[in-house]
Amino acid sequence: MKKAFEKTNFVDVLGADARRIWAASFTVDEHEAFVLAYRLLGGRITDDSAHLTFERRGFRRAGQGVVPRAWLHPFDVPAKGTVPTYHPKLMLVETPAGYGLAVSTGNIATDDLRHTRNLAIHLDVSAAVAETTVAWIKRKPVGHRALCFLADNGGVGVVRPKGNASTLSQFTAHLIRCSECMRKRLRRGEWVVAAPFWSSGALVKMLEAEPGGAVEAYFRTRSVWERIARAARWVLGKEALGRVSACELREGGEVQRWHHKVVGWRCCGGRHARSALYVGSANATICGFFGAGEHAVNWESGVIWRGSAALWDYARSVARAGFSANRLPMPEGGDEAVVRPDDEIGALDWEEMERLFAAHLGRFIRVNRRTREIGRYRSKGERIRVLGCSWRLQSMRLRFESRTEIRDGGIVRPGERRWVPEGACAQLHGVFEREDGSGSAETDLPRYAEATLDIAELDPEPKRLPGDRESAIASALAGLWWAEWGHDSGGQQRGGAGGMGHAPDDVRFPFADFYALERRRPLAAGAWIERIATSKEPALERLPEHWRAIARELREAL
Amino acid sequence: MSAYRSARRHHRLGRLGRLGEPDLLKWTCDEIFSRIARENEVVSATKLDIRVVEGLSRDGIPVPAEEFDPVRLTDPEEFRRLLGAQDLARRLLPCIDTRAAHWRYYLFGAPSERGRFLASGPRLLSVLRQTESRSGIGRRDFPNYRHDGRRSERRFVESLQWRFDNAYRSVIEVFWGTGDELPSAYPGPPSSALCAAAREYVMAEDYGDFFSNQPSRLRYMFHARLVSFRPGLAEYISRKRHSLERAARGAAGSSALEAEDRLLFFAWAVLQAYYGVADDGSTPEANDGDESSDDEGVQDDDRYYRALARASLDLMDKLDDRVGLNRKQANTVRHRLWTAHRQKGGYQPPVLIWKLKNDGTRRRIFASLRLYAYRRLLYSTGGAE
Repeated sequence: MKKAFEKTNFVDVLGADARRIWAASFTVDEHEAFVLAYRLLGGRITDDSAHLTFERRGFRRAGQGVVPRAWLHPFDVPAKGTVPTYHPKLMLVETPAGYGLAVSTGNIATDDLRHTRNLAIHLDVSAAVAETTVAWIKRKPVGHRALCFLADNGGVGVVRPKGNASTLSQFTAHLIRCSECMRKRLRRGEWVVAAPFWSSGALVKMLEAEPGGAVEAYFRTRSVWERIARAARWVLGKEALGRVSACELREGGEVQRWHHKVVGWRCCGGRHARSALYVGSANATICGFFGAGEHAVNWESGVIWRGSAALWDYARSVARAGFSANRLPMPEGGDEAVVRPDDEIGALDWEEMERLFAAHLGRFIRVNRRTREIGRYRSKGERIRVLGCSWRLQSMRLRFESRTEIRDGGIVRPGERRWVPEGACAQLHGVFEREDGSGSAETDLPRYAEATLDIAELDPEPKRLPGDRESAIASALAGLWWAEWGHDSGGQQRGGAGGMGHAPDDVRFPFADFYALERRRPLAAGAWIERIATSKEPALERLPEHWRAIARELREAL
Repeated sequence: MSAYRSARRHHRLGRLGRLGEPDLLKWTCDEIFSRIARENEVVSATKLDIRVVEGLSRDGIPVPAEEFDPVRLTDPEEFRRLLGAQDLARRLLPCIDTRAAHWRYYLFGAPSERGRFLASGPRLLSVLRQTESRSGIGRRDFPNYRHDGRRSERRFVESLQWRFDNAYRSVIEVFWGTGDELPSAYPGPPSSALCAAAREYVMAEDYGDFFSNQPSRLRYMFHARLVSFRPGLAEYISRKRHSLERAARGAAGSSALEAEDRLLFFAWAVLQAYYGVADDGSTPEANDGDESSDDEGVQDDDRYYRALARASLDLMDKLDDRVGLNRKQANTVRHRLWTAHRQKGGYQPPVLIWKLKNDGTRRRIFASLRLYAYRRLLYSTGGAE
């Protein structure tokens, strides 16, 4: 079933009247984050209006910086054993009407939001769920890495697993089979999985969980499927792999760029089958959705729904995300066991390669905020395993970004520490070299891979930007709500830059904003218009005179 | 109560099954009862509003003046747009189209002294007939048409005409100066001798030598007209023995070229070296009417790319701020190209894109720069005889 998905953006989903934002993302492009926050906050940019948690290596600076550095909370993942990734894509906003949560499959990055197809889900959550989510974003708990929301019976709850349960464990804990399957003790469930990154071990786990079932898998490129299939065939045998139907997604005959992660399940093909759907950040990898053993490796976030047979059709439709599916043939040739079951495979282009390697480049450095020094670890075996191959860090250079150029700061050798001058925007550039005979992917992957790491925590605080005409209107609008319903947690930022402290310099009545609000929240819109029309607060005296007249007319019309 | 009984029965028989719960028989009856009760509620996903999410508009957002978006340097089309390569090529070489490869097709557009034109459709068919469809417009369809007596000649001629118009009409109008709006690079009207010779050739309908490049007066006059559109560039390419790679390498130091010519060479060279995709002179939407250059090919080996990377670096130094990139982008590109050029072993392009599409066809993104097509026409009209 091919479904045309409605396109949206985070502001349509969450509204433009947020008081505070908490977001978690693997990668953050500063420009995208700023645009997003600016729209969501209605132009009221203050130091404590947003909290962005991301994996430190995933940050990409915009020019000389634009968001307040107080917003940035880079996270250094503990690099013990398998290196995990901080990989959730969550955005929680506090609005006058409550809390809104957007669970997405894309990061706050230009590549994900403008060049790649991603999905997002909007959930209205209670204060308790919001509190849990905020705590999860802020604390990054090692003992609860996979955050799953259960959308059920009209409400949204947080799944609270015992210990650090993987997303798969949390997902399966909520699966219920139909009475027929339970009576006959059948395990013939079907999976539908769409993910950009795959591990062969994930395919093995799904097939082993449902010995009589099947898997419908969506890959971004044929080469990923071939490598995954060869490795899985080595483990499971040819017959078992015959239960997998692999597809790629196309539109107009062209293979598309997509980045969504969807896992669907149903217990059987019967009319009364039970099904479930997961949409979130977790890839179809061991480190992502499936976990090592029962435990989560990466920090992930997602939503789980349970339903009847109809949900299965919807899950297949979501997995295709509006594209058409093209069946991929079973790969020919010998089995290759060189790809390990937990290898993540699936980088589509250079942009992703660079992000992947940037995450690993960060393992070799240490940043000291106090002394403004960047040090490189003195380690002998600077080797990493990425995309099924072993790579060696060949060189690392320090660079300084300025408004006009990127200046070379010299090589950073192992054991060396380099001082970053005040006011400079430091950047590290690493070149990785693929080692010979280190994997089966040698023909696909380049010999060298580059990665760039922006050391944002040493950046100077960017200049606060003046509000423009549009932001003045939005600020006036948002500021009124703030005064009416808001509870400023800090208490000191009210009326700050871009808030009610400034009179709007655009005198037009914000009809579009008002009607948009009225569609979303009629009661809030009514209260706002009432206030404009009747209140004698000093703050309202700063608004243009004709606003009251228009507000009175609108109040009569409502 | 029936659910409770059902639960007890299932419990007794040990028939309940769930994924990831191996110790089913340890459940208490109450647990099973609650599960059955939950099961009996038809769980409906109450709010399943999943949408495709996109980026927000940046209009009206006070972002800093200096914006460095590295994504624009990794996307080939974005990069080409940044360089302004297509517009530049269109401006410098208005009488060239990558799809228009055979110079004698230009002759069909020669105007008479009174401004009248010759009908081209039937003559396009004559070309195919007389040359045994070796090349040119409609060559792939022609054998089918000839062996299938049921096919309408009129329709076939119409399709030839349509393809001809698509590939040649706009450039022919510029070449002969018959279009409504002529570009700034237009060198003036063609000589009456060229017009007369071209019309004479077309009307004679002796097309046996249509795709041959034997020297003739007509060929000489056509070449002269072609050169007049961009004399410096044409002469330079000829001097480099029609090798664009050599031309690009020497472009930075040549006094024969203007800055715009160098920009064109820079865009052509940097796009290939940066992404490791060679310009083979063909067009992305190649169909039967377009002139394929399969037989020409390019030496897209390490040496070729390294030479283009070196040429790009030299041209960047020469052109400085005129390359269409801001300082920071230019530095980034320079640094990446330099790294690729210096790297030992096989050439590794700074940005990796797949050279082949998933269906195995070759990715083509640079053909529209017209440089290759210009060189091809110059070679076939003034090159080796």
